[in-house]
Amino acid sequence: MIREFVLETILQIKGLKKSFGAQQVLKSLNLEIRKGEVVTLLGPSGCGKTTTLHIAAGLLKADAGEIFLRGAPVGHLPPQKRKVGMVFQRYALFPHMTVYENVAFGLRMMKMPSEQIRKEVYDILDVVRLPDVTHKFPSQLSGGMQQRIAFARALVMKPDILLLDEPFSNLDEKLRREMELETRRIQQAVNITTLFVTHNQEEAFVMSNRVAVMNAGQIVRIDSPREIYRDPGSRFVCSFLGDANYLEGRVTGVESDTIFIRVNDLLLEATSSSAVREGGQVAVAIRPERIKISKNESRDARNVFNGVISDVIFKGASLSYRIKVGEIVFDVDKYSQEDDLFMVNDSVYLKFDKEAVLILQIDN
Amino acid sequence: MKRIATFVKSYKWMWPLIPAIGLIAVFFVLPMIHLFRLSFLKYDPNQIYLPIYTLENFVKFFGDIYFWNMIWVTIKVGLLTTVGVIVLGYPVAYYLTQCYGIERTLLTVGFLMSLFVTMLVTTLGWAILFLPYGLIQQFLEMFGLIAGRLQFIKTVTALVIVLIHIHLPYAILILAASIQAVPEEKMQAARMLGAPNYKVFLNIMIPLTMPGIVSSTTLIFMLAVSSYLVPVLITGYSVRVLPIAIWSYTSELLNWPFAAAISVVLFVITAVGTYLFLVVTNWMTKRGQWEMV
Repeated sequence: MIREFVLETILQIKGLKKSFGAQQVLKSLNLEIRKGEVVTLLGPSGCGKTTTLHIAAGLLKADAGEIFLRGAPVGHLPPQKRKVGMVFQRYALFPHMTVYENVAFGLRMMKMPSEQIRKEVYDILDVVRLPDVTHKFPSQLSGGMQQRIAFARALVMKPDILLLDEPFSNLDEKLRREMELETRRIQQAVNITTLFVTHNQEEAFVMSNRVAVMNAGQIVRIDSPREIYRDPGSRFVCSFLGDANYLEGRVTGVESDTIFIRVNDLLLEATSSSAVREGGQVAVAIRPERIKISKNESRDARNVFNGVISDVIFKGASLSYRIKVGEIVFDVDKYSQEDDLFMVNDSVYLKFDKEAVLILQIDN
Repeated sequence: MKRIATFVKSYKWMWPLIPAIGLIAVFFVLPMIHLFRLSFLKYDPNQIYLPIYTLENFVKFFGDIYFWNMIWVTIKVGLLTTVGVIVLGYPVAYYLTQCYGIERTLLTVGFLMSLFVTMLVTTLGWAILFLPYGLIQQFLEMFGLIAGRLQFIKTVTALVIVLIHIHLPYAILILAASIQAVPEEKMQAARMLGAPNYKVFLNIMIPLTMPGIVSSTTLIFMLAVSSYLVPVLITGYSVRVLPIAIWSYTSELLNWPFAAAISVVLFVITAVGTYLFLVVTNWMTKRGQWEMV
């Protein structure tokens, strides 16, 4: 899955800074996107991801830093002079124009001959699988269809890069999942380099080759979805990519491939990490799906703890158990179809691999 | 009895409307009916009008080139004022939607304040500026741009300038509301598709703010063609517009049936003009076929 990109750099952002009044939104942001790649800016609202997108589009001016498209600086160019396509959060279709006129708008601005416009419009509507709605107005289409038209309108211009500004946030859950896959299909069909902005971790994972997690105007981590999920590095990134049980303790021993961490009465084992030293404080996270539960004590005594189930939460496909181990509460996820289901007040044993213990930096 | 009771009950929601409907019926619809009737009555120098129905008022009006010219001047003043107000007001309204905080508050208050100044004061101010040897003349003479008496005060130009100034705030407030309703993203999207600013304006802003343009245009045109006070103070009788003729036939010549006939003509002109304008703009922007998304 992790592809190696030895391709041309399409978008390069160097030392981007932006403030609105006294509030600094971007603090020296750097990013590079290569041809055909989908990179996601993932972060909470107010982290500067949309600002970055708008600066790349030319809709905002940066205070400092430079943007390169195919190696050429474009920071001084207005949006209409950059070969950049954008799908807006609320699609921004022109309500007074038919679907055909919407998609043809950019081509008409280029003064393309009308015969050729016709061909290009129908070609791209085939790609988004909506060839039969050309005469309709946007208000006569469903949300999902409007979005596909917004994609068609941006893609028909054959831009160097496509910018997506939270395009799924207006759709209900079911349609959102459908459109994620549809967008992925369209993206691969035309092999368009894409910069995608979202606050939804699942969207980011489904869509991207690389995810850049942003916080307070900076990229705090950029890597492939799997790598980030496997080793988030900091509590902020970890919490943004799903639920986890967070613990803090002290390193009591370091061996060649194992470190020992004492959290209250519990002694955890984790794979060794260069980030810790003996006697130091350390924060760790354990994903709820990485913990196994059983009635019987395992023979292997490492990372096995006895606890009592204090709550069971049914979520459909999965079940969530809250388990008290001494003073510490663990959340554990299980498929609800599994045979071994437990009740409140059952005494159980928790067990997890040492690879499941994620070592995090201690946030200040 | 029971049926009447149910009927009354089911129209209970209309009760709050009764005062307004009553006011309109008594003080607008009834006088309009009376005015319409009066325009078809025979003029009599002693009794003002006789209860004899006749078309002679309209025959007299449309048979005289002098009145045709008056219609033309009235419409010209109305159109020039409307175009001037929209052209000057649109950029200001746009600016108003783009600024924030104290600047916006001050601007809005400024426009509203100018509505508090009575039209009489505003117009007299302009009259002083326009007077022969008035401020404008003194200013222009100071720079040696003109010599001799300024022939400005009694012209259509002067009239239109004052009408534009007086009606500008209404248009700005209406236009700002409709510009505000167009999401910024629509303009950004057009720009990103390669549209230069003037095309964004022509292809996106104008069609999407058409409701505001139509309502302010209609309002300003109606106010301008029916304006009486401003022509009296600025141009007197040297620019003949329909409202002045109506006043003169009502109060000076006491020919009420003829004054009523001119009023009906003015009413029909504004009504038909407004309707045609609506039809044309609706057709141009395909209104009714689409909704805002």
